[in-house]
Amino acid sequence: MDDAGMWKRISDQDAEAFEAFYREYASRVRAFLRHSVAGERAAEDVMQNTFTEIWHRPPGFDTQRGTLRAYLFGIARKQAAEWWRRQRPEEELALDDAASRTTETSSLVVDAFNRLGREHRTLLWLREVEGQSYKELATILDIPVGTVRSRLFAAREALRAIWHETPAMKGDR
Amino acid sequence: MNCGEATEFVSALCDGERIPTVAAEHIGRCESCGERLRAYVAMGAELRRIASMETGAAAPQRTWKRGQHRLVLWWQKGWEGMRIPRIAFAVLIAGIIVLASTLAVVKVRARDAGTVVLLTVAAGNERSECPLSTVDKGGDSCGFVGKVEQNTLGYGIELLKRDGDKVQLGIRSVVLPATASLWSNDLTSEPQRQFWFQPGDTLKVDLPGLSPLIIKGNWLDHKPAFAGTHDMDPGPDELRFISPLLLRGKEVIGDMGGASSIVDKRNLAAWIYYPKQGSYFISLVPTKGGIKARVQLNRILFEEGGNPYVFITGAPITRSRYVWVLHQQGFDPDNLSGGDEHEFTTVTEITETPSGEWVPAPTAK
Repeated sequence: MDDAGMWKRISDQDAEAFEAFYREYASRVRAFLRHSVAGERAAEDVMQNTFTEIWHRPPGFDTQRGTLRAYLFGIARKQAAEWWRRQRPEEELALDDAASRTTETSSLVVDAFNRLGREHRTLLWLREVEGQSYKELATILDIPVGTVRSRLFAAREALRAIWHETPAMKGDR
Repeated sequence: MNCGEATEFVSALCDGERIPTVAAEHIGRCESCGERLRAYVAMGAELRRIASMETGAAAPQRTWKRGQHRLVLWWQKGWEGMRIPRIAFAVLIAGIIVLASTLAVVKVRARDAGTVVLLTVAAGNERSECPLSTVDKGGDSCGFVGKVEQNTLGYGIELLKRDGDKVQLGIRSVVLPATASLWSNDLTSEPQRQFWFQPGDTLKVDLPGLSPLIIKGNWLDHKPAFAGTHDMDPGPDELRFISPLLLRGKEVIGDMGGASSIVDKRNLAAWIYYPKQGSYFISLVPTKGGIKARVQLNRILFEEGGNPYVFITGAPITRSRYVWVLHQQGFDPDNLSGGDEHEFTTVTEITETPSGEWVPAPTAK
């Protein structure tokens, strides 16, 4: 089913269609959010909020502006930003650091990834893992496509720099 | 082209984007740029490998119900007795309620004695609960005002008498266009229809232009302390004000025992009005001019004008650690209620400004 068809069913509050949409994307959104907010519980909560928001406010998606998948991750990103806004500012740094420690992986690249700023993490995850196109990223981040290109480059360079500065990582390469 | 000029194109090439021929030629023959490209590709592959492990576990199952966020509740003490001054309170609430797209107002006092019929009333996609006491005249009626099927619906249900296992219900209803405000006399001037109802059965009450009210019910031995939610753990985006009491230092400046409002969306705020103190809007998002307040289970702590304030409620308030409290001293309910001031709590919409702050909907100001 194409995005327009799926969206019509969601807009009509078709619970079966929305459940299928949820099943397809929920775990991917949660994985994305693990690197966008601090902690497993927060990622789960924000993921649930994301789908709840879409279910409750179906007029929000415009098929002319991008894909349903981009819309979904755009909402998830905004929910993550909102989550951070609700945290105590002085705790943010610590929480951000905690986010990097709570991942279940021990990959050196992922360790380096978790040391990036949140915006860079968001961008790289959506591009590399979710395979979002530049146009979709522009929709999600609400920035021009040209800015997507330059920010992706900056994010990759930042990741590469962190990777290179870690002695163990040099050896690993 | 040199490496400095080509590096950004390495990233674009990694993404399969079209790049200028001259850049592609440079990257193809430059060892440094080739190394950078391989590093980018390796980083991406590693992230995807990790992601494939992280996305393995299925998300918890959820049930999606139509309009589940629009649970509308309005329990009220004494619909029947809504004469002056109570009618003034009803006018105020009704006027506000119908102007909000989604709302939830709960007004109930727990009662220790009495046999109670708990009605569940479905109107379109809206569902509300209504406890009616057979022995307590102060708790034998309830009402609802809200948007249903693109219309404004108001109804009031009164328990008239009991005969064995049956009760006689008096029901008034009014249906207006969605944009209309509904005032309490719109409802009380409607004829009362009377129905015998046996808890356990289903009663259908026809409405002009709308699906019928579907009323079900069962007997309870008491009136529940509060409506709508019986889970102590607040849900996502939920903000509960159950019997809110407001302290300034050690002084009680507002006590609304028995009245509650429950917010379940981020674009809604709990609105609490205490006579002489003004309005308080409590939201999960930053309001323009609002004070960031700390949440401790069933308390909200904030400072205003150098004074410490605490809202104390009867249940955990929210999952969030912070909420925003917007205090508006100047709100004058006399304009709406006809001169009789009563405290109230309800739910109102808030809208986001271009600067990212939220403000109460115009009807709430």
